[in-house]
Amino acid sequence: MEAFYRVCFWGRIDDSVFEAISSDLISRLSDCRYELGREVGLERLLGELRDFDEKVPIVVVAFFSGEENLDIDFPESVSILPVVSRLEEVSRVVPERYRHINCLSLEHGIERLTSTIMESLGLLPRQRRVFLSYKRDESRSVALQIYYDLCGRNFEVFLDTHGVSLASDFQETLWERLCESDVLIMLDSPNYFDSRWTSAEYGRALSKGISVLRVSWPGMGGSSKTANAISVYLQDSDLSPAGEISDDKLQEVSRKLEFVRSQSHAVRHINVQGDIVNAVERIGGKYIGVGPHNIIGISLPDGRCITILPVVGVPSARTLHWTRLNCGVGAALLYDSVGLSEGTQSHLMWLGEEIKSVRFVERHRLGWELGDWQ
Amino acid sequence: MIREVFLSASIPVPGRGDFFTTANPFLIQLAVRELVIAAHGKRRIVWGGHPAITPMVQSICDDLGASYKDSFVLYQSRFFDRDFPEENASFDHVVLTDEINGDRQESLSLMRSEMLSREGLSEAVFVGGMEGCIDEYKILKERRSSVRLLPLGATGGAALLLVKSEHSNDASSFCTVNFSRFFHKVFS
Repeated sequence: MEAFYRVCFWGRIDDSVFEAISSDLISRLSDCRYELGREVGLERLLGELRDFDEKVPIVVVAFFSGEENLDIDFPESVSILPVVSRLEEVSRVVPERYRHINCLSLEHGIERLTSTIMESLGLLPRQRRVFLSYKRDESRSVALQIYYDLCGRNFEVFLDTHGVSLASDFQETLWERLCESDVLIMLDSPNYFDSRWTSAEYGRALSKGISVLRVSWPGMGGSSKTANAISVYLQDSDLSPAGEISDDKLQEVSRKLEFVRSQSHAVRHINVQGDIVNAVERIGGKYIGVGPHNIIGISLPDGRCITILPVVGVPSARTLHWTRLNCGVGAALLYDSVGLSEGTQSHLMWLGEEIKSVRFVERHRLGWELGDWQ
Repeated sequence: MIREVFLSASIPVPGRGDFFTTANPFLIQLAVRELVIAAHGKRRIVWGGHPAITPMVQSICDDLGASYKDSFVLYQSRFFDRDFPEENASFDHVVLTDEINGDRQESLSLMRSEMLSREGLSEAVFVGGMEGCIDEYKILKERRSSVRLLPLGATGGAALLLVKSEHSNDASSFCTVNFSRFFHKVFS
């Protein structure tokens, strides 16, 4: 099977360090019930990166010790984690263009490095958010099966339970939970869709860039309204008299979800990175690259370096605080306002005005803001 | 004259052979999203609508400013007037083309012919799609040599077939999923 995620090691690594990192990754991935070498590929690069697929999240862990060929080039959207044995070596062994990306040191311990690897791939639980939507009287048993299975795989699952009453407006807090998710799973039982979603609300969910996995009930077939979803089709024989699905079918759902989710993570990242490159080109600046925590470095025409942290969903005060601690003063939090409610947008404007040490920047205004960066 | 980009987008459904097996519904949705955002202020988008895509486009318009609604020209054939989605009412520029002899194919051909002969067309973007998408590509290639033809292969369906048959020398750039960069370069 093809891996959903890809970890590449480049440069000279001691075997003992490689073993320690692999061992810790194996342990962390077992929380997702995944195996290193199966769902998450691991390679030691001898030269250039081959078979680069933009739809697969990838991180290159680059070990610098001063002995490497420094001319290696990676696609500009690839996350690079520069690693040294000791931080004091950075200016001596790390090529200039990677020095503007935060370097990691083995002095900080293997666990910190593997945690950063997991984060770059979007494999930490807080990054694996799923919105599971279903109609209570039609699919409760399956919803709970999927819920417990996904929780056991390190997903954070929000259950959107819809009752028998007519569709009510999406409340703001519910909408924010949806915006923070990268996958919407809908159990498309006979009376689910039209009772849960208006056409406008579903369109709005799609406008946020969310990906959709649809579990189609027997007889439901394809649907023009949900044609954008990737579907798992249930037959009558897949549902027990108690209304549950088999373990095989549950496995199929979780594998499809991981495919949908990993693709969404990679593609959304690459398009945000694309936006940043576009904005930098427009103002005559320079794009540096993607580093740990998916922080992107750029330089302005006057030489000032800026770090940008793209955020999924609604940026919070907590995110602002983390950015300030990890990216320094003057960093930018980049978010996408499309799909956010008016209330949330005005809250973000207020928050941005009150906290000056980190700037909120709306994705589509980045070029404009960078052109006049104070 | 305002420059226009023609959008040929549909999501292949089960039973439609290779179109369906290669189609990537998420990438189709995302490509349209990125096109709408990138074209703002630079191009007017000409298209025929789609039940799974029109509500999303309308939502993007709502979020990015009412001027987006002015940025579309939506073509609809009177043959389908009983099935027009409610979202169509929110678009300011809707062009209704005639029904021909009660015939679906003839009515669609007329709509297609009128859509693709618009003077301002500068580019055509193909996303997912089935036979109709290929017909539209052929018409533009034969009759409108000045229109730049841009199938997005990563979205699959007819777009992928068109990349393989018509753009094989530059397939990798037409198969990117970095739609933001792709459209930025096209509209610059």
